Amino acid sequence: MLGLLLFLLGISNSASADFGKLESLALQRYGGRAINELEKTVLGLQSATEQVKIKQINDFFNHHIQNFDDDINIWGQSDYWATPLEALGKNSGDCEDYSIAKYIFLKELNIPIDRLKLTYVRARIGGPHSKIFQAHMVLSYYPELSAEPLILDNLISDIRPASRRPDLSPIFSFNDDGLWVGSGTAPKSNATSHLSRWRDLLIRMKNDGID
Amino acid sequence: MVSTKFHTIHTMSLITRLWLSIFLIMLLAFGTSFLIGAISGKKYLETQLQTKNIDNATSLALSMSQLPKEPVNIELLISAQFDSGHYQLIRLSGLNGRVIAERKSDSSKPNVPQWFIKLITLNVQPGYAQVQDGWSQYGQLRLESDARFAYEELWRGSRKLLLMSLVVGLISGILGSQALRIIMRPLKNIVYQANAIGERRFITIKEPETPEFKALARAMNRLSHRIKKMLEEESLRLEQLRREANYDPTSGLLNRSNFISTVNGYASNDEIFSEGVLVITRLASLAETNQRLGHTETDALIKRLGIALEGLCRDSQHLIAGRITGADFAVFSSEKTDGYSLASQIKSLLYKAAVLPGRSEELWPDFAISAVVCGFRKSDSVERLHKVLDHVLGKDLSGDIDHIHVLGEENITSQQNTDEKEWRSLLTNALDAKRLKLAFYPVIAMDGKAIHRESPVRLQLKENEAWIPAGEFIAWANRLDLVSRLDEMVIEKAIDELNNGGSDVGVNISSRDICDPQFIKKLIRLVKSNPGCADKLWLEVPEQGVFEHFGDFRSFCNAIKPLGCKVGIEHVGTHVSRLGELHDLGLDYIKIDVSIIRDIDKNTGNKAFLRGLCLIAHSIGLLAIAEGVQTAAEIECLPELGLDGMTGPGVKSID
Repeated sequence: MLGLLLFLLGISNSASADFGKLESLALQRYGGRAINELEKTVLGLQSATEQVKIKQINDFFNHHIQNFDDDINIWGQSDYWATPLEALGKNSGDCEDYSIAKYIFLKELNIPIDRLKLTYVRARIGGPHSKIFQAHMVLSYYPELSAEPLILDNLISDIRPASRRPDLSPIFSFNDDGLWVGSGTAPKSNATSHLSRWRDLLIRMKNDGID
Repeated sequence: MVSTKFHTIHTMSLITRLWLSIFLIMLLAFGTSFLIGAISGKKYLETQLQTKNIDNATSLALSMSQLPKEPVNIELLISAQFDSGHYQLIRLSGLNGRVIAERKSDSSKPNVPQWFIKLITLNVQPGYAQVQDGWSQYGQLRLESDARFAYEELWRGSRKLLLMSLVVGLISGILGSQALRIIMRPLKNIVYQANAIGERRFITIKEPETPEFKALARAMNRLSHRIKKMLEEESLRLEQLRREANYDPTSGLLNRSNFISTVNGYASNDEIFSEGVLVITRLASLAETNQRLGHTETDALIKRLGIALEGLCRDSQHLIAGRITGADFAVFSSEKTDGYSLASQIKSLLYKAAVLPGRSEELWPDFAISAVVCGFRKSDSVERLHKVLDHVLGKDLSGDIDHIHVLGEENITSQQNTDEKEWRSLLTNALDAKRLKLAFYPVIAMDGKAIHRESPVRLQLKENEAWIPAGEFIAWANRLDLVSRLDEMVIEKAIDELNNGGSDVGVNISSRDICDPQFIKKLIRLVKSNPGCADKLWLEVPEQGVFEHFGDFRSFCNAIKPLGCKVGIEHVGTHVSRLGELHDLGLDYIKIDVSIIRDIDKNTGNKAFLRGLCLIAHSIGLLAIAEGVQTAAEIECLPELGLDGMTGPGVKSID
């Protein structure tokens, strides 16, 4: 209960990542290589501009989660939202895992969350005239609330404005804004059973050492 | 305040305390489960409502994000969601916080008391979700569910809980008091016994099964037994005393002084006596017999004669026998009877008894019994008649000694049959016409205050004739089976007297009445229909009847005592050895026979006896009242012997 409370307080205040814990968990589970570099990158970006933070984090995860694959192949489940630790540890992820990891660490770098949205998109695969569509997830960054977002995608390394991504059509966006408001009512016991996939992920991340 | 509360708790009956504690426990249980139920219900409902808020907000935002953001579309979507569900508010606001569209329910109050809502306010956060317009953000959706149903659900649950607590409390209360009643049943008997002992009724009860109660009951039973035993021993000692003072040690018959006081006491009582017969028999040549047989043999002979006469008296209740001098035996009949046949009967009885055991019927030649008979009237005394008879016997001693003299005898036998018919019609007519009244004689305590009034009956046999006392007709009433009817009418009269504001009245109940269930039923009905009279009605039964029909007397007491009447025994004196048996009847008083009271100031032996008698009476809670008190010397003597009250010709009420 107390831990949950602290966790909630942590979300609404300054986010912070316990890289020591992340590292030891990564060592334990996956023989961790990437966490060190992640830590370096995050520390180096503390005082950078938002533009730089966006670029660096996008590049970091696009490079360090090398295998883009389906959840069923990685986790043995049809749809599994991995924490950044899991994704980096396995060195594999699907589109959600990339987007989530980026979202988390940008938040970590004090980007206001109302500028970050996880967006379900319909992606056209294989050129402008292709008829093949795929469900995909990207991270949208809104430099201004009402402005056009920049799209952080694992399929391409460039960060482009939405208007330059005709292959993507947005379906729905969300972030964890409002999700935890007054969540004193979050269930105490058997917590995950009542949680959405999203909340479940946030809790698992906290256990990994990312608040 | 605190102390009075403490006091009230302690004076409550166990059943009340049980109910109180069940009530408190149920209150506590209800309070606790209400609290727990309300809190956990509240938490659950809050979680559910919150989840619903978030989920519905998200799905509505999802739908909105897909549609063109025309005001009509937005309006329709929000309305459709709002109207098809249970919501308090759905609001879409733009990025700048301006409200784009909103539906709000008129705050419909839940059908629940205000205090309940105040007590458990549901704290549910609204659900938020982002609405997109293509890539750009459009606005934020805020959704609040209507908590009315939640409140109503909680309220219903709480009420159900209260009802169930009440039902459970009621059931356990009923079961508990039933159980308590079963547990307490033996205690009831014990309390009854304790109260009875408090009233000096030393009853015993069946020992209950419960060990604690059993020990208590056993202890009290032991107390009752001990008292009973003590009373029995005391009564026996008293009987001894009475015998020594009043009986001739050789023959076992009444001695001279006791015979005289018994007969004179009897004859002076208008209520039981009108005319009788005295027979005196004399053993001729007792001195010679003594010489011939020796002292021991002669004593044995006299004992045999005594036993024979005693047997005779036992068979005929109206006879009293005594040894008035060495050779003179007297038999007194309190009823008018044929003197000659009575004397013959006595003589043959004595001759038969005189035969030595184991010998033939022949007696020594000069053994002879002579007898003299005379009528006995109210004004007569034994001493005077004895002198006359002595004279007659002495005169005849020279001649024929084996004979019967009848003095002043009228031929009664021939009249008897006509008498019976005449008496029956006389008595029946008098009773039919209710020509009866009560005479009142005071019974007073030693300080002169009235205890009650004795109320012997008077009959007017023929209209406008003189009222005659009971002694003149009671023997006939007995013989003609009219006593119950007479006694019933006497009780009616006594109750009339009490209803008219009279003070306490004592009424005679004959031995025959106490054996008559019909009579007892009528008596109970009479007393019950006049409840104000019960405690002023003193019912007295003669000692003879009490001990002859002891079982019936016990049932009589058990039936009458609960009504509140006082019950006593009159003419106590001959059966003192059985006084111990009265210990558990709950009687109120005994009246001691005139034969003991007469000349008590001069009779040392009777003084000791009377003192003991009063002691026993007091130890089982009875008033001791002296009957037939005549002289100032007697009155003076009574208080120091322990008597509580007296009555008789010498007693005047101070009222």
